[in-house]
Amino acid sequence: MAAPDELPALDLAEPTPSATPDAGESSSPEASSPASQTFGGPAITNARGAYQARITVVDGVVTDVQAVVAGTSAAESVAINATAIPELRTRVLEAQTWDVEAVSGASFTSPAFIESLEAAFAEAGL
Amino acid sequence: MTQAPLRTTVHAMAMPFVIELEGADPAEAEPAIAAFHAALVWADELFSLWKDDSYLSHHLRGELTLDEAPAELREVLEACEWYREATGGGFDARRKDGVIDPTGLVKGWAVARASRHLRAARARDWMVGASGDVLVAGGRTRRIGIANPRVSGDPTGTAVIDVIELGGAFTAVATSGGAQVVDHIWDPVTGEVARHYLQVSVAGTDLADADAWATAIAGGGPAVVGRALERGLEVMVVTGERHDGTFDAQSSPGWPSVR
Repeated sequence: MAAPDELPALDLAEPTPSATPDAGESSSPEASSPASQTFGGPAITNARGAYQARITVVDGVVTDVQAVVAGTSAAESVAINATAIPELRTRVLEAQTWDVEAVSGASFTSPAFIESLEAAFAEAGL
Repeated sequence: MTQAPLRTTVHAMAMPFVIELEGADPAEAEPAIAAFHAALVWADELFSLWKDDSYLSHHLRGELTLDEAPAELREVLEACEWYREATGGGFDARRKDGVIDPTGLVKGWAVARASRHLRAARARDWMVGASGDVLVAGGRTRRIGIANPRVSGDPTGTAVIDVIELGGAFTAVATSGGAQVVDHIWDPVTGEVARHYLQVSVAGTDLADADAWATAIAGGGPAVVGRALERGLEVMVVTGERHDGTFDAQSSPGWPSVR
């Protein structure tokens, strides 16, 4: 796994000294500078390529999250990252009682079949 | 004139299949449902890997060539290979031990095929609830719920996380993954149990197709979603559960949610 400082794409510059620095931040190269700080996460590699995130923190609040490295440059990976993923709409869903005529869910076994199976086991003395 | 819908449940492949017919010819409905049921039972005799004497079991033991088996066996095994190609390997019926297990395709295929018999009932509208997959036909639209991934067993009557409309541009929805059967879908690339999503739902116009793609996305993850969208299918994936019991999900632009 590459250390963050080995990745050329990582840009830790451009602090914007506009507020009081938070002395508590020490993990960044900019720890001694002011309120807006960036923190690069480690590069994580999975089957679809390397991923690395960078966050910007202002006064202890995360103000930005960026993907410094997202996926490999393999054609398919780029196509997926460029087209498929942004098209999806992110939603937070809560289970609620709605008026519906049927429900789609993962396949399930008939209660009757389970009952019958249990009866068969009982019959077999198991 | 208005007649209560005829609703009945038949069992095959250890699963329940609910049939709802509206405006059916009473004399034709019963034989149509019997033919539907018989087609499912027959598919089970053909494809069950739980039964040692199914055609597929015989074939896999080398006791029966594809030429000797009913043509549908070849049809489904070839369809498995077609979907492996189309999904970029997301749907792969070859198990690690080399056995071809078309189970991910069989239910949707069998229901789509058996449903032809329901046309004989001359129903104005009808719906099949196939153990979590739903197929509709006719003129009117229906509101269909998407199950809470944590609900086990029959989700009918339970609180749902989304509602879609079937009967217009989309007539079939299939859902894969979730709480029902633990660890039954594997990732064809890694060979490990698939953990990409809590649940995958696919809406389309063909139940066998929607079912195959739902299985493929559950097994192959985000890369397969793009391929499904290219084919005009609409997809909703449940990516995670929060501490407050809500779910993080992603849906494609045309996902027919009416929530």
